[in-house]
Amino acid sequence: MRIVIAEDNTLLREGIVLLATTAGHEVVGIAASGPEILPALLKHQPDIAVIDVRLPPGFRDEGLRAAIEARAQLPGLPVLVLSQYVEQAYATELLAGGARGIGYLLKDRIGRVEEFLDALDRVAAGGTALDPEVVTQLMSRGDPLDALTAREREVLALMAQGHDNATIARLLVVTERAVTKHVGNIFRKLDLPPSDSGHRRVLAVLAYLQPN
Amino acid sequence: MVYPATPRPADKPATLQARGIMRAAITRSLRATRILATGMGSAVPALLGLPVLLLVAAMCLLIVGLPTLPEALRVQRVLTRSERNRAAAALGHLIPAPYRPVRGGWRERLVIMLRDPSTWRDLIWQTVHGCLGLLFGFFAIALWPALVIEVTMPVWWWLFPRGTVSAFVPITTWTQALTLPFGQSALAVAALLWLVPLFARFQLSLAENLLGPDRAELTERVEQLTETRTEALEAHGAELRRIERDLHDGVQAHLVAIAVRLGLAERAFTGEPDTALRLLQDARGGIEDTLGQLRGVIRGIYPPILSDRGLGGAVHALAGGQRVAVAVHMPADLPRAPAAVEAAAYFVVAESLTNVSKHSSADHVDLTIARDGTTLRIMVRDNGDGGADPAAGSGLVGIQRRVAALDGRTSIASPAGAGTTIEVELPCGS
Repeated sequence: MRIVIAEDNTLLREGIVLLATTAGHEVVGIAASGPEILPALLKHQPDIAVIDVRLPPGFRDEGLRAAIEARAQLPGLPVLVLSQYVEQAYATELLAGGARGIGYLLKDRIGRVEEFLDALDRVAAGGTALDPEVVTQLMSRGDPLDALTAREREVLALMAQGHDNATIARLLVVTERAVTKHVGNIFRKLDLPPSDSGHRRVLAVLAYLQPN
Repeated sequence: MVYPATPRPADKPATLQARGIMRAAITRSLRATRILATGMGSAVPALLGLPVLLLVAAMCLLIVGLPTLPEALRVQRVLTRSERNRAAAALGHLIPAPYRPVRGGWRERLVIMLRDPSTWRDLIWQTVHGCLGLLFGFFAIALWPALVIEVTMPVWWWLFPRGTVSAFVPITTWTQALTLPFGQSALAVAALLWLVPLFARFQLSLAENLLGPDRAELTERVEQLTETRTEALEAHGAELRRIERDLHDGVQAHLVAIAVRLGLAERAFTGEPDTALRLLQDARGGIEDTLGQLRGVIRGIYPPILSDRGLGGAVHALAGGQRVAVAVHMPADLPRAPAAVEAAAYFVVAESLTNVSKHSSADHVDLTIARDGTTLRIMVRDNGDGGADPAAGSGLVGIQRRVAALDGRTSIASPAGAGTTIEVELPCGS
């Protein structure tokens, strides 16, 4: 697929380009600062944009703002946001426009090549990829979650990260049937409307976990 | 052993030396006269202002005058400011205005002004200077022509035999005309050389001591600042040591361990590919751990969201991640404060909220942040159990220390069963 990358650090940018091209993707555009992002996206119309949160000129959250702006101007554009640190508030802002085709990951995750490429594919296909640390932050708050068993909490966390039942089963080394059972229990205990394993389920889980 | 005699200034001709002393004395008197003459400029409004202030004070007894009092005091401060400037120019060093910052409606301003000891010291100055300033000025100015007249008295008497008066004594004979003015001139010279400079010094020190900052208050303030500065330096030192330790024991040690695994993987690469793979995976896991630790260290130095979003955004993010409901009251256009102040404010809010969720069993928190002139005010109020005690080893001591290091103030009210309120004031420089 065709990718636009917004990253000012040359080392990291080359790393991502190397990864993407090795996996058979094509990097069609590069933006090295916040204001360059939107024109590059409009020009290249990529399948996915990979955007660093902190970019020149201000080195604040230019990338995040550009990502939100890009989603408003190009509805449905899959965006994978990378950051040196994760902030639950940023995740909330990103997800405010819908969780379809949204990814928010720590830069550290690039090191796990397979998982990173999987997240890239998932987001490009309209799925969700939330960093485990964001999900941990989201799950640290609610008392209702105390009603879940440890395994159910693990399943909930993986669902919130954007994984489907098959992946969850593989990651937890259990059968897919067991995962389906856990999911059913979670939805019942949290009083969530039952939904299939698509985006609607991720949305329901994230909506539940969002603060206030 | 014989030392060669060193030449001394006294070796100069005595007449030259005497002339120098004379010239210095005359310059001093002229300068003092000028000071006392310009002093009349402030003495007149000071004198005229006294009955006005008295009138306003009388009206205050009938309540109706109260709103005019801050205005009257404001006018008084205009006068004292010009006097402070005049005295500062004559003294050659600055006299800082000692007033507490005045703000708010007239009621608030009135209370602040009346509680400010500087207001009362201004009043003392106005009374003394109003009564003496004009007298000093006239006295100093009149002495110079009087001296000239006295010295030339025989001529005047010769020109106008009738009606010539030497310092209130009518002159009737040549003897008187030749002797009396001697004594009078001597008196005038003595007054010019000694009394006039003395009066000028008195007037200047009156302005300096009553219109400038109170010495005792200043001393106290310096002691307090010295103490908080020491604490700040100690805190800063401890902080640096902690960062050093975190980087050294954590990040550096991790990197060494990773390098060892990579080296072993290199050796195992051809012979034992399975072992090499396991080592490589270990190394990557180690790198991930190290990155996590590094993020923790960075967060401890300066929370990244503060530099991204400023205090407002950072606090909203903090509030959003809490188990309890936090209502944030903060102006959208909160001006940015120095980094150290924002970091301290963030720390205060984070610690307070941690305390609330750990100890208070509250279900609602009001968080108020406002900038008031050069002061950042933070208030965290919960509806929990109360009874928090800084001595009991909670995060409260940390808050107090961090705030004190920036010369701020902390007040904690936590009556048992009635919630806890933490109020913090942090000065923001300008």
